[in-house]
Amino acid sequence: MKVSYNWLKEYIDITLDPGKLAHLLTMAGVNVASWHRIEGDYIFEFEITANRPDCLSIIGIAREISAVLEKKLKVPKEIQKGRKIKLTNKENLPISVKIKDPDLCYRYSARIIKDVEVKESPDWLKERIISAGLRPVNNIVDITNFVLFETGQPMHAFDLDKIKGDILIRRAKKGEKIIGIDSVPRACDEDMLLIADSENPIAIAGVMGGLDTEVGNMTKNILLESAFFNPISVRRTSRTLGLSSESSYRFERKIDNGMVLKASERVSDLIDMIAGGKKGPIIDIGNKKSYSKSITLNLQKCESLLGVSVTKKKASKILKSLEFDINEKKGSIRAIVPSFREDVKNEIDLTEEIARIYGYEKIPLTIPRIVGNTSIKDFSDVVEDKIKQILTRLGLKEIITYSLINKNRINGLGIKDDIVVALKNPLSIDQEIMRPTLLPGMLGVISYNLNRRAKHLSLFEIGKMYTEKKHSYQEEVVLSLGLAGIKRETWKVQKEEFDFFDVKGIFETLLGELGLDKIFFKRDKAERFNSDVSAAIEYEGEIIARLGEVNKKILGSFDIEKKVFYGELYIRKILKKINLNKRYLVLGRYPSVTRDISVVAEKKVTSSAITDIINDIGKALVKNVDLIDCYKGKQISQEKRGLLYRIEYRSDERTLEDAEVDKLHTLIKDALTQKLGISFR
Amino acid sequence: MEEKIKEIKTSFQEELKNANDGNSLESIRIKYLGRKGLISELMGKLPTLSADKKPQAGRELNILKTQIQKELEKKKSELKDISLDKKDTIDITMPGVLPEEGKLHPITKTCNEINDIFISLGFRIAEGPEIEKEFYNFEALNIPLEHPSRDAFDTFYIKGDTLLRSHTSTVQIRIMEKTQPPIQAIMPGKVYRPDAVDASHSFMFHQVEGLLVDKGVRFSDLKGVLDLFTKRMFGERTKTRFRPSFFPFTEPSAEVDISCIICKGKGCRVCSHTGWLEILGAGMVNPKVFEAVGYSPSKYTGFAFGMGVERIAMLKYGIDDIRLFFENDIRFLKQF
Repeated sequence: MKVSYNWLKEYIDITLDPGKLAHLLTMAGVNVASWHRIEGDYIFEFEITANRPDCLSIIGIAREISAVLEKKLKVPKEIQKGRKIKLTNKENLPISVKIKDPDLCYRYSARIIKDVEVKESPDWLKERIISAGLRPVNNIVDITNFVLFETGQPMHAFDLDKIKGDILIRRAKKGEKIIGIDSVPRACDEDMLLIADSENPIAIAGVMGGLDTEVGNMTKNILLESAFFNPISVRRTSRTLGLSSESSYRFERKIDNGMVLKASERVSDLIDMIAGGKKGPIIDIGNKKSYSKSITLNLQKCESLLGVSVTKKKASKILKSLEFDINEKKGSIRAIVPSFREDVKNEIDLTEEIARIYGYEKIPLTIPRIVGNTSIKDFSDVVEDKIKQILTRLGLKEIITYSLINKNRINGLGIKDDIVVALKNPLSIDQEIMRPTLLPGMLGVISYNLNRRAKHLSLFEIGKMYTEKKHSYQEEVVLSLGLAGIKRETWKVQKEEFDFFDVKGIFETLLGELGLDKIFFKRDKAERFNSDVSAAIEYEGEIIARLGEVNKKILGSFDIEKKVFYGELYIRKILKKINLNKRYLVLGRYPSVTRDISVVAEKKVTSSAITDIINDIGKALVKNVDLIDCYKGKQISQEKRGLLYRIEYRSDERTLEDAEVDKLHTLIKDALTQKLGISFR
Repeated sequence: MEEKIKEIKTSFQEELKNANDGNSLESIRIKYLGRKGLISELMGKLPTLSADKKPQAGRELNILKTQIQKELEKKKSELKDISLDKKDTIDITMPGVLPEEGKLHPITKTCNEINDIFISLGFRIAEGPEIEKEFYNFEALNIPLEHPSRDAFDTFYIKGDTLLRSHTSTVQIRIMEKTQPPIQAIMPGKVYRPDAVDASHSFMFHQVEGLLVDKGVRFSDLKGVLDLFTKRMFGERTKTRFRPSFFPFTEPSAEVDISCIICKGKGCRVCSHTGWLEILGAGMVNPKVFEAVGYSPSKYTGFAFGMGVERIAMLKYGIDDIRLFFENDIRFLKQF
């Protein structure tokens, strides 16, 4: 809201530097976002919070200044406290006014003003209107706007002679049309409130007047509306029509019912003065009761909430300056809330009023007692931290991608539509669903970086995937891992690309560190992966992770030409199995003996089948089996491959004799030949 | 005889000093210790000595022999070290081979830093769902339906009254529903708002919410805790400023500003020449919120606060575009 410094000075004596004033008001909760100089004046730009509609007026702001600077507020006689306006009997009004829907229109007042001379406003008035950010129209419209800004009460002047028959305040009929003063025709619905004459709607209540009854140069007599409309109704209408006005903004936030007639009176007097119109009869129907509440403030409570002692004298003074009626009692203050402060409903609201005018900066800094939590984090958080720690140690970089993605991004991943959580009001199709997997986010980042010529990409994300199952929503934390490009390339080592065994190795290390030792890698079919390079990790009979090479078609939809190796770990499934406690194992005291074993096996014979036999036969004496080399080529037939294992034999009880190792080694070889048809090189 | 021994000693020392390779060492060895060397020669002359001088001279000759042997060995290993250095010289200016460095995302790092500060002040960490019911996002927090106070909380909806939380204050309600006071917790997490993406807006971002509920918690405690937090986060010279504001779920409410960390309060582009940066919203828990979760407002008081993690990370690292956090350019990620 724009407020002119000169205008403010009409209601309060201030000579303060505008910067200082802006600061003082901001520190009292009336936020000045900015201020600037114009010719002969300064304009403040206020940001008024939703709870303070009383500050959406020059007088409201002046009142705050009077409280902060402890200066007297001067207001025009029409709107002074306790001012009574003489009403006319209904019969004396030439047209009848009726409220058909009192749930949407709480109160309606109409006054007739005759023989106005519509013309350009005087300069001082035009200046005021411009300072508030509006365009001057004519003296009548400008006066209603002037008083709107002055008091916060929106009003509308109709051309009385263009109103056909009587006035009825009613809900619109479905599709009923009205052309506003902006010349735009709009169709209404049954939730909207209209001001209608006997034939047509003449205004959208609280939002905009109609073109047909607009005050123009030819207007002689006017009907001045000052009303109190249902805030929710005005808000809905304004939102549905996409039409917001100075009036609707104030009605939405609730106007002061105590100002309805006073503001009307103020407009009438100004019209008399500026446009020569004669005040005619006024009627006022509906709820005339304005907000009022009596609240007791316990000063001890106030002190123990704020952590500072404010004297009764000071507290009373603050409340009085904000126009509360005060009655001091022993240890407490009884305050009657003025009609324009409906936000003040109870003791805590009074405490806040005192605190903000007293000054937050005068409240000391203290430290509360510590509650004493016995645990700092849930185990799942501890595990997440641990995983991040392990993966960064392994050289991976963490990414964070959007949880909202384009629906097309999950095409071809084998995800059923009915588990996908979709937004009702997405901003764009790129954010229409919640991700049911972290793969699209990962591929998006890989594509983005490859396009920027990144060579080495080893990334992970820990985040939620979202699904719907029978109207219940699931948020499951998963780990996603993506590798692409060159694993390493230096002047010392030959260029090496990432492959499946890099993702596998990361998973093995990670799960080992999490205390899950008996994991099994199984060949797996997942739509997202190249069927040949796809695996699942099983732990205690349950699949806890999937990994593989992302298939070409999916990569194509992300414009990725390089191979991408990806894995997802379903952390929730292993949470109860994770053991982060480390136990020391006794170091072997006796020397170990290593023997290499070079096997030639059919290609279908798996490495784990071989190592299983080695471990099985070797029992406790085989401490370690490493695969040293794997070769296919000229020296062996096409259906076979050669594998070189290095076996470490060691006993925990004694030094092994060569002969004993030789014997065991031969037993292992025999078993391999017998069970897997393996030969040796 | 004695003189001869002395002579040999001196000449040996002289020659040893000048020897600088294996060959010259070998010729020295042959000259002194060889079968026809100087020591053997003197040994041969021992029988010609008188009986009283013989044992003495024999001993001295032996000592000399051992000494020469030792010194030759010593020199030999010295020369070896030098020659090794010479043979395998490396070019130390060639680039070092670096292991690939893992990195945490700057949002994670910032969030960890915030968490750690509050943990040190006695807070624990709690979490809640992102897919929420309207009740937790609004009503329980004293934000009535169709009220202008909802304007600040534009929200993504899923179905019916199910929505994506637009702030982490939802978790306050969830904790209070589950536990009785005292409560001292922070609640980090993702939140969503239908904002068009630009350099300073994102439809998804991270918040950290804080809550302390106990008997006798005061506004001054809120000030003390947040002042301590900002000093630990941004440096001990950081000043805080509490401005009255409005949040439906706190009363009194405050916006918390810190003195601009770029210009130290003098005024610059980052702080729009005000010298202050807004980084936190806070206040005393509104008694209506306590009523919504079944706490007695006459028994307990408390404070709550919330901050945007991206905002703090941007200030801390001097990042001027929020989109960088979600683009995940590795040239960006490498820097933290």
